[in-house]
Amino acid sequence: MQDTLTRRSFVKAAAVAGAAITMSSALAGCFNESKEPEPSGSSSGGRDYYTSICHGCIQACPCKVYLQDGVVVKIEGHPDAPTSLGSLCLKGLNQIHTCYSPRRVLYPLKRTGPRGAADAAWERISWDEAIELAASKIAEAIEKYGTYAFFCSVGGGGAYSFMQAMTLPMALGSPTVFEPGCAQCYLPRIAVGGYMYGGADQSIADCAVLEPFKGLAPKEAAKGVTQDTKVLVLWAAQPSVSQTAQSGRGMAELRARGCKTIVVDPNFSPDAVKATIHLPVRPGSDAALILAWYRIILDEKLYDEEFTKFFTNMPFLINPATKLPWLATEVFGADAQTTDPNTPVYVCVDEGTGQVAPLPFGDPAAVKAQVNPQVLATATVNGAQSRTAAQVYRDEADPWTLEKAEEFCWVPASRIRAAIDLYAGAAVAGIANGVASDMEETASQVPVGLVGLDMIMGYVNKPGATLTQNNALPPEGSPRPTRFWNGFGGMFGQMYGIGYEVGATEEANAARIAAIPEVWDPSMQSPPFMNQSTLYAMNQLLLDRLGMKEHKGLYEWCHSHIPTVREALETGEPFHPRVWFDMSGNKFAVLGSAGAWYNAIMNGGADFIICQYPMITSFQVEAADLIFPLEEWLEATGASEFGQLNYRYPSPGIIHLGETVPNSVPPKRVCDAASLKLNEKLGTVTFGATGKSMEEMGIQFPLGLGVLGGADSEESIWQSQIDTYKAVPGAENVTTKEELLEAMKNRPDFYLPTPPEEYWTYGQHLVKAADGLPLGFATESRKCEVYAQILIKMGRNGFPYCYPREQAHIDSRLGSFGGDYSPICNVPIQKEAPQVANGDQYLGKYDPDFPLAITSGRVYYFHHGTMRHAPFTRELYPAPHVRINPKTAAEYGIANGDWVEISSRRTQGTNYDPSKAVGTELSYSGTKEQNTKTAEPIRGIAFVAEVVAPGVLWMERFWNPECYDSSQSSKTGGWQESNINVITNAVDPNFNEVFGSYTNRGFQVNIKKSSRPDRVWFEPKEFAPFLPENKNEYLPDDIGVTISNKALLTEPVAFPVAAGGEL
Amino acid sequence: MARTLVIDLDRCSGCDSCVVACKFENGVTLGNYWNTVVPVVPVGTHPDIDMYWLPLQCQQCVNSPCIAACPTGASYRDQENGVVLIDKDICQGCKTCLPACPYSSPEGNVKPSVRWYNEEANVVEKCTLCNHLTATSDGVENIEDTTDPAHAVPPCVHNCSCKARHYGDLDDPASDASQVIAQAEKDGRGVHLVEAEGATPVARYILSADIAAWRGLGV
Amino acid sequence: MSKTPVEWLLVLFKLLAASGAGVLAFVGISEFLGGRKRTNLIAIIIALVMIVVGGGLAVLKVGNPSSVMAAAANIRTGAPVSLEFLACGLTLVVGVIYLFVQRQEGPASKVLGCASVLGAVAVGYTTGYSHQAMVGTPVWNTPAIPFGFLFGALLLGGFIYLALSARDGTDGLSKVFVWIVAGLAVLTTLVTGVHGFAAPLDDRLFLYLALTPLVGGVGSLLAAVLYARSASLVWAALGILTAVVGGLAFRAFVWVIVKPGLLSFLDTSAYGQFFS
Repeated sequence: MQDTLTRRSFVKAAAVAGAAITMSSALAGCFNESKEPEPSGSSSGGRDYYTSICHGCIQACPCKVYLQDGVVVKIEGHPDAPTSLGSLCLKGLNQIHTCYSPRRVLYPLKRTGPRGAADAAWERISWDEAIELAASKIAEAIEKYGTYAFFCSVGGGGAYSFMQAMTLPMALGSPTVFEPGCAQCYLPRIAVGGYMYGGADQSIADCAVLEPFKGLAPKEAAKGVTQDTKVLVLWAAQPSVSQTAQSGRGMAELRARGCKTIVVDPNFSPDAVKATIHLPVRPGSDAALILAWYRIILDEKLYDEEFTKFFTNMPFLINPATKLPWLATEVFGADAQTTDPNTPVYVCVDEGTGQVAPLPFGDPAAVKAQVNPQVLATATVNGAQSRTAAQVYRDEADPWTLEKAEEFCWVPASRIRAAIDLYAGAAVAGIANGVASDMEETASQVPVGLVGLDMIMGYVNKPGATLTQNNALPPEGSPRPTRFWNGFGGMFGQMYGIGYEVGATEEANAARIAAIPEVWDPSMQSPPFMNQSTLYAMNQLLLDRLGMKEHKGLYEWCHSHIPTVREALETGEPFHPRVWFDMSGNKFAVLGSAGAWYNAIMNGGADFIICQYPMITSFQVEAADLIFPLEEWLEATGASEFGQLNYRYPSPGIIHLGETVPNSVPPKRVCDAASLKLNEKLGTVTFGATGKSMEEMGIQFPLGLGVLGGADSEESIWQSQIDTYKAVPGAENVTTKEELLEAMKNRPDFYLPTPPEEYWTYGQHLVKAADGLPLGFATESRKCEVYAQILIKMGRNGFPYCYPREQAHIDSRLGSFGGDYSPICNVPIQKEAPQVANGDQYLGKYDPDFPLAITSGRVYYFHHGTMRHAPFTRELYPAPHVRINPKTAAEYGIANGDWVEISSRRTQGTNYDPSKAVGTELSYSGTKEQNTKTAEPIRGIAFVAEVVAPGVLWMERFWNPECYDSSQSSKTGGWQESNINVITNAVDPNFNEVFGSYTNRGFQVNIKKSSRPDRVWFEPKEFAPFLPENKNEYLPDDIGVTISNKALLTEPVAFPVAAGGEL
Repeated sequence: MARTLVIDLDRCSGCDSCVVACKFENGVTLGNYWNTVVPVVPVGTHPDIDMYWLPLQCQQCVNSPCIAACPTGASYRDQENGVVLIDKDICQGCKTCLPACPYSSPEGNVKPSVRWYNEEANVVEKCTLCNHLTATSDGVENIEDTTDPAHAVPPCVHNCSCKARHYGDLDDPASDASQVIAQAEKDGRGVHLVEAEGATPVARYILSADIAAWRGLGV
Repeated sequence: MSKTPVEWLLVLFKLLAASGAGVLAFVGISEFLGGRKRTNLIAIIIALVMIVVGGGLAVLKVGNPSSVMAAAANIRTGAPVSLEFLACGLTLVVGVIYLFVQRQEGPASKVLGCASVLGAVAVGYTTGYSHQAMVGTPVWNTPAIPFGFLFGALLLGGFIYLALSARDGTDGLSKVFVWIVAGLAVLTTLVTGVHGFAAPLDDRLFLYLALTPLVGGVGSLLAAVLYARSASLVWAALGILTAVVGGLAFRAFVWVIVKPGLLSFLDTSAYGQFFS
């Protein structure tokens, strides 16, 4: 049972059909202040509370929701929650103003005006009409252009429609789905965790790292659960801001208990302010800093020698030709394979004899009797000069002395040394790796380096470490651990058989594929829907996935490469995705180079766009043709897996407005309706690029499992809540929604704990396996692969994802490790960088038009695209702050509080002289001319303080819903005025080799003094139109929303007088 | 009787959740803030800098200059528990108290003033320590029932994302506020107050030297 | 230095009420120096009108009469503003009684005369003291404000009385009146001058020094001396003018430099809008 239903938790949650996951990411609000500001809360008096769980960000804080006369009047943190301990941040509190916001979409809306915000107009239609419209548009496009004409997209953590968005396109035969996060957020780290040891990764935000927050709650400590983390490294992460009341509260408790922290962040974030050591690294130079750590730790033998020698692949001798470890059988013949074939024996240099010797897997004591592998060594094997993996790493790290790191990363050498000593000197420590590294050219190199550091220090599956598993220990005699691949921990592998089961032998994998029947046999137990034609079709969907030839790491979630999808919309090559179903908030706020996407859509890139969201955002007002209204989390019945650490909390729908539905309903109903239409034409519908008809392929709609996690109605979702929370004492005979709400009313203890011993578990790899050896790890070598050998094969043929078929080899100019994906941390060329002393060989050409480095990060007030409409938030943070060092501000004549304009290659500057441009860049894919201007420069407010280094800027993304409010005389979409994603780089190719991540952080900009943009609200009183009205009538005209047709607004909501409603 | 907030600045991360919790509980209008989290911006040059956040609300002064200056008696001290309050029915919005309060701006309309002029209601408002919930509370929250009058705390204290805010009567050693000060002194962590000429604030702020050097509101 | 808009209604109330009481005080003084009944009658009426109009402005500022009464009644708390309203109220009462008593011979008018002087001092001083007592504004915490308000108001009251006397012919008017007015001018100059240099006035220091100690103080002294040489309405009018300019300027500048105290560093433009 996982902490919170983030993308990662799906890995834990079994692929349960119908495990309806509903939630919408935006939050809610309450009623307007009456004239006389009476305190709204009388101490008790007539108020019931229900236990629920906030979905205000990527984590989930349990809370108590107080209801008076059917209206939510107060929300507070649940005091019994193990990490948040009663905290609830302003994102949770503001749910009242979002759920009751006058800007809510409460009915299906069809666009009646032209696309674009300027004169957008909507018409209310019924649910049946809306589903019919969506299904017919999809069916027409698929019938006319083939199954690849349809595609989906979804939002990041907090959107919770991952399963629907990923499985709906596959169900309708399309390979195209994407999420602005994914390669730019969490995919790299979760994938690398799997590649290197088949275990949980280093993300705090996505609740992979939970160990530090163990034992904080008094009731847990009373059960003897101790708090063991004493040293924690926050690399590119700021939990106090991004997960304010959960991990943020956890960090406050940790620091109060004496835990020392090292924070690596260009910005002086709150976690950096409270850190024992802060390393303000230059944006984009993290990889070099990591290599400086390796260099010292390897040279001074600070690593855990036994773990490194016997549980990692660092001592393996690497074949220079294949870049893969030598197998003992290749050197010593077949009989050197002394262990089970699924546990290959590799080769090392024996420290005692200095000779090349076999290195079998096994219990360190037993193996030590046979061979004592040398970590750093070079030897001749089969005539080839071979280095150990550790030696390869050491040679890569060679240039990165502390002095060179100080010069390149702008961090004082003394601080780097102090951080290494604190990290390596601790009894146990752990690294938490945040999202920033996912958004840079080094998106694979940084997590590989950081997970590798924890591994050579032996900080794995230990109390106090960050690489821990938080699930019940496998029983003794369990089989050798293996791992399935493709889509959330191998979900597609398990469902459709695609993908190589890493840790199993080739023979076992081949046998598994061969055993799949020609036609689906209902009697087969699992996986269901398994037949050769479905397998072939699904495998084709992987091979045809846009951008996957180059960036095969995206197969981890089976998401397409976003810039390649955009180019497909622009050019129709290699195929043209036309009908788009987006299941998120605001694509124009969160997609990199948002202007390029706007241009692609407005130039006819997408024929019909379907959206589902509780509000109208920039994307809907500019581009949506049809909007399904979704519930806010106060209305939405969530799935049963929500919780915090080892406690599960209910997520009941407490109130309901208009005709909103959970986010799992529209995808399922659209899929069923479209399938019905298309199954009548299986002869004429062609399956994507194959040219064959569905009939010839022997498949029908919906393909495979259909929409995973889809639900026909809210009732089926309630059932999962009821089935789960029947287990709470006193709720045994609950059968209906009303009974469940009644059972939990005013009960402080309505949650389900998991016993600590089944959650806080360690030493998984030491449990004795069936073959008598320690279980080890779910990798090819059964060890921690600090040298991520799987990445070498992946770049060449898509191993393990595309098995049994093969994907083409990557373009060798792209592979930073001699044409292959780098299996270790290295320093690829940073496309856009400031002038750095002696850094030329690692940096792209310096462009004097854009001299300043910019990076970004979250602020407390928002989560992704949410909360820009919440008045109590916008009055505190009306516009984005641009953090500037006083020296830089002085150079540009900028004072604290000035409006400033920021431009990059994607916008150039209002005084950017193209003739001065440094000339078109030779992109790696030929001499493609890079006219990368896609939008106008953006604006923010200067916050001048010593919180960033000279020459470095920092800014959070932003968008302005007020820009298309009908109170405006002229309207824009509100995504261009102050949105850093307009200037980020997803068009000028220098994507990360493995995951295709484009650059949201660490690129070059220019800045100058400017003025407040038109239409943007700034003074607190200006946000009054966003305050809930609670009037028992349709919304009056003067409040104005983008909806021109008054009839389709809020249905009368019975707000009693006590809650501010009028008689 | 010295009811107040004690705020642990080692923990406070400046997340403003207390500001929003207060606005929902007391229906504070847009543009008015009964507490403001002041970022005490770094001294020193990058990267050798330190900084902290200081949530500022009515300091419940012992000599309460506001009560002394208020012509109508609207500013008063609660007879039972001594909390400094403003009676909305008596206050005429004459704003005489604003220059009297060292922690307020003269017009009660700009951050980080602790007293604010509410234009619609034509009254001056300020933090009430949520006396309607906490009048008889010792600030040690009752997990089973957060509305328990003997233990309730203001929502800004309950929801604080860092457990930095503590409530209680400093004359009652068993109160949460007193206990957190006693513990801080035992741990050698600095217990400070925001000095102001002519005022004797009751509110206390805890800050350790290794987080940042105390400099009040950054003056 | 946080800049604050000037509360003009209060500025006018404080000058009008206090100088009205000042006129009354001079009538009181004339009981001992030999004033003329007719001048005194008109003087008392003018004084009462000025106090009432001043009080009216205070009511306008606060919003309704009941609160002014409440403020005055709220004497037990000793709130400075209460004292201020109370002083005005009592002086008004004294003035009204004096209006009737003034005609009769005998000790009664002398008693009322003394009461008027006391009232004038009370009103003059409390209009300043209600600033000085504001703990939260240390820059006000100087005796220069109450005494500056008092002397400035009496000075203006004096000139008004001299003007009235000049109109009724100056024969029999004791020279002592003029010396009292001159003395008040000197005192005003000294006190407001000291305050000027003590208070951190920022860029408007010279404007303040020019208007209050120079025009209001020295200018008034000049007018008094000229009046002493040839008692004429012109010089009295000049004196009124200089006293009004000095009085208004002093009371207005008190607001402009309100908050160099704790929050002054927060130059609101920079920090005002961002606390995150």
